[in-house]
Amino acid sequence: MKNKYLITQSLLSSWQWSLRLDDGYKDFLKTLNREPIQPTKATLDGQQFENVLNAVLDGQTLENTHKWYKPIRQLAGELDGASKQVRISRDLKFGNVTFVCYGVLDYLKEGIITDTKYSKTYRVGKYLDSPQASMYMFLVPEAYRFDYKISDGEWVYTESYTPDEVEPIKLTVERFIKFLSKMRLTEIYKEKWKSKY
Amino acid sequence: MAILKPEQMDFSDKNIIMIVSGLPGVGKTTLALSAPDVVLVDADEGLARVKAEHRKDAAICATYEELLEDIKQFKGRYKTVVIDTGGSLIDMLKDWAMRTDPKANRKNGGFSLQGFGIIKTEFLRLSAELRKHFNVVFLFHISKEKNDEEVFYDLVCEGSAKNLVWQPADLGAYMHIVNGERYLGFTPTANYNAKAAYGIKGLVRVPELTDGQANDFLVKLFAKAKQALQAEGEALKPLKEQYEQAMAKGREYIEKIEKPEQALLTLNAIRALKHAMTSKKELEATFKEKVKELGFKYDGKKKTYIAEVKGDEE
Repeated sequence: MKNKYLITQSLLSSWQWSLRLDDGYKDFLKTLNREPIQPTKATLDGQQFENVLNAVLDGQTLENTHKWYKPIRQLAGELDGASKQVRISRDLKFGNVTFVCYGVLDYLKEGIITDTKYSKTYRVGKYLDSPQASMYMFLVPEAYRFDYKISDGEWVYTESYTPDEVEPIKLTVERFIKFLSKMRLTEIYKEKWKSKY
Repeated sequence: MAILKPEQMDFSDKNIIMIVSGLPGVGKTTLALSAPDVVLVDADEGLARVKAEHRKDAAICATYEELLEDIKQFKGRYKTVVIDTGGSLIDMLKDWAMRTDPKANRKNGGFSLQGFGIIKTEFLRLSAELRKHFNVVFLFHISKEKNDEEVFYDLVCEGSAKNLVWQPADLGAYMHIVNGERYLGFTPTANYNAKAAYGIKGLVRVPELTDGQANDFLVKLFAKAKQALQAEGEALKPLKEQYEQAMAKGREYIEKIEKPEQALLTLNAIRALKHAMTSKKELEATFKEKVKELGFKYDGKKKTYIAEVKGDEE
């Protein structure tokens, strides 16, 4: 049996939030156990925003009376021609254990990975500690930049990261493994996150 | 409208927009006055704190309309406009919006949400207009905030405009003193926001000015940034050309897929192209989308693509 385990930026994010929020640990255990999590209004709004953007990128017309007309028009201009929902995996080895890093990139175009976020409470630097940029730039080493495009429904804010500005994902994963071991969660992880490949 | 190819683009004359934040008295105004041919819009009486030998021309304006008038006078005379402070500019814009646009006023007399929209739109317009003619340095005071367990030094600027002011900026630095020496932090940290670009990143020391020494730190920094931008553009030029060629060819191949037996040949042809940047991954993603759309799937045993039969997954 190969020792291969799946690892995603969502799992790492959930772990990072568990260290910060009071009830974060409870949510992290749900994620670790791959239990369904009830989407929040913010999550649903984010999905809806992305769906509208993708529809416009696919050629659908957006009425100028639409509540998101301004940010969607701007983003559609910037992301025109980008590949959408790009699924990528890449192995990350620690001794005889292989972690299959996996991610779905919102957009990929001309060496730039773009992830869109919808946030009513955005503040500059919000995604600085997120493992997403690091994970995705590991998945696409040819990319020279990762851009978050954050909209509050009216404006679009950009946070850009280059590979040398983020912690290498290997270090993050290493800390995550140590955390699992310390909290005696390794067996759950091994059971629930075994890779099929 | 002229469409330029990357190889035709010239950034040597590009003007730079920079944010400098820091506590009062850390030396922001003196630093800003080290930019090329500078004029200071002094809404914070910051010039009074600058050593006489480093003072430069300044405009003092009470209203936003006065500022716009002054900017007209700056054209052709200066290369850099310093706004001291960006927070004061936002206050000025707020006053202007309330006086000139009824939508900015709430019925009870307060400032409306739409008013903030008006401010943001005007800030972006002004930044774009200024950039056409000048480098721009926005100075910001900071306030100490608690963010999770960390102390965060945030820009003093009203409402959500503090997020937007970063948008037009090429560079952003937090100015602070470490062991008696001044530093500009260009890389964002958990304690402050910043913006690195064109090879200007991390901590950059600002040397202490001695009597009679030229105050030209930002002259040199801007020159270095422009040089790096030019070099970056030149380094990317061949990659972008290669990328565009690969993408055009790959899309042409994908477009021609009609039968399952063509799929694997096409995928191999895509992989054999001379790729640059992310062209290989983008084309593979487009290929996957196309075969899915055509109803083809990869058969591991036959080692080729086959037409999916409806209900065969049952």
